[in-house]
Amino acid sequence: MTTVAGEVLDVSMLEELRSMSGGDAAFLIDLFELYVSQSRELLRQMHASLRTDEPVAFARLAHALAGSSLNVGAKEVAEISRAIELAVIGGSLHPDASHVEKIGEALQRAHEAAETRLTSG
Amino acid sequence: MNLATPDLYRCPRCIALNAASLNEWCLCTTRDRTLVCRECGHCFCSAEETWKQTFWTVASPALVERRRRDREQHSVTASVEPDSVPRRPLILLIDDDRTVHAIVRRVLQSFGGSLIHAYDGEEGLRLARVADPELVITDALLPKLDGREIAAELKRVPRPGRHVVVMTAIYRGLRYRNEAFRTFHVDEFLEKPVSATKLRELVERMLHVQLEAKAAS
Repeated sequence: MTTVAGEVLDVSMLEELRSMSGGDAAFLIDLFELYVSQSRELLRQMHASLRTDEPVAFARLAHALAGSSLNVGAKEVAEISRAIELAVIGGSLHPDASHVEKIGEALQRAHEAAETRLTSG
Repeated sequence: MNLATPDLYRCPRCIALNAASLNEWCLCTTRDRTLVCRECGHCFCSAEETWKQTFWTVASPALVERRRRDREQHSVTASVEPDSVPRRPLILLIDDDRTVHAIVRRVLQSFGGSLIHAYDGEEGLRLARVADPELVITDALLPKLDGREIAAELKRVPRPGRHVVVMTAIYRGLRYRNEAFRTFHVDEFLEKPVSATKLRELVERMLHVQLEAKAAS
């Protein structure tokens, strides 16, 4: 699949991180890997909260994921996670596995787009 | 470094057992109040931050109390001896998001003090009490204990020179901002996502230090 970086990533946030690190590409790649691995753990916890039917815990995990996504410029993941969080809190959505999958797919797109962008300098 | 057993303090250089348990404080710094290995004379100030943090996490209550008394005493001494060696500032960052730790560590790498890390609210409050940092930066929403409660608790017994900054969670900035200042009496407020520039400015202003600004090459 071809992804457009601007739809998946907040390019200005990535540029701020690049500037902050003095253009250290290795730092940015490590940071994004840390984000991806932490996010996968949050997705696992979301699945666990579905098994125990705890929508509040699910919403809190979605909130955490949205927050860390914004920190690294993973815009699409942040937007989807935030929308799901709000809908669950508002009572208009009962979370299920398809929502976790949707976030997981966005995370994969962010990972690929960031890899391409960061490794190409 | 295995510090799983509380009474087995190992020197980070010569790995002597119980090296720190009976010895004196180091004299090279007045900030960390770390110890000197009685076997090889190694100063614990030069140990890695993670080592020191783990060390104080498992330290005996008696040692922690001794450190607290010593620091209090030193604090009095320092206030009447303006020419004494200046303290190195200590910052405690409390956040369950590891990307925040990585970013803040990078932003503050040139500030010349120490940065210690906690990943939930309970651990953060305990470290704040043990290490007595000049600056506490905490997320608002944390596992186990809310960051705003940490701020309120630290402000309940104010100490001159100690600042508490709450980093809000995303989206709810204005509500949290008002609540943080009025109810929890924080000194400053930062919104997420973390802005390196704002963080740098805040640390410089609160700790009176000059940070090196990195420019992308």
